[in-house]
Amino acid sequence: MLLHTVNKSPYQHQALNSCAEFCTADDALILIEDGVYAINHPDLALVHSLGTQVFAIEADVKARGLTTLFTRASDQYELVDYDRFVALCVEYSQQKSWS
Amino acid sequence: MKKPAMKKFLFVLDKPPHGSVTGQEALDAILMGSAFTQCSVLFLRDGLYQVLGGQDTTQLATKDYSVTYKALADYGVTGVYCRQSHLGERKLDTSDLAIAVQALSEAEVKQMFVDHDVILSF
Repeated sequence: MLLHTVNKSPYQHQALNSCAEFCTADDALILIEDGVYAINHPDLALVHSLGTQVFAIEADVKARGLTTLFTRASDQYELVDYDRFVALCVEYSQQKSWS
Repeated sequence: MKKPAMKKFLFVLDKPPHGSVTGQEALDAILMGSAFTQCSVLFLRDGLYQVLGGQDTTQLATKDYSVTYKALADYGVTGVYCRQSHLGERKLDTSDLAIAVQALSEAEVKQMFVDHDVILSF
């Protein structure tokens, strides 16, 4: 049960691609900072298709004007606040940050 | 699942050396960590270049810290791993590496994450 964090845009960095390689259905991924630019990236769809739960920090999504894009995909990705992020960190036994 | 009294640390390196100080910081952390608990190291993707043999930083005028990886065994860090396909993508073989690295399958790498209590990424 890993909580993966990705904080880089998939169009510039390999972080999400690396994460997608090792995600499992028991894991969750939370997109933070520039990681939220992954919203329409195929690697995020791949992670989702593996059964990995996908979250994104709402503040980072809003700040970058991506709210509409996330709303369209709301059945796949859940926007969370920082309190929920902390709760997820506790819920999952380990964390793996990809950056 | 019962956790061992001593937490097992997994250090994951996925960036190449010399372009940033990340590798040097990772190595410092591994050597320090190994004084306190059981540590393993996993090289992914370009992280493999950290331990590629034959590095010569003379002209960069920086310290060639890659030789320090050879000290890992002396510090009790015996679990040093990579993913087999990441070697292949780079046309490398474990014999090209300066230290003994055990090549794992995708499933074995996933298990590696599960088997450790703390994962530190560099």
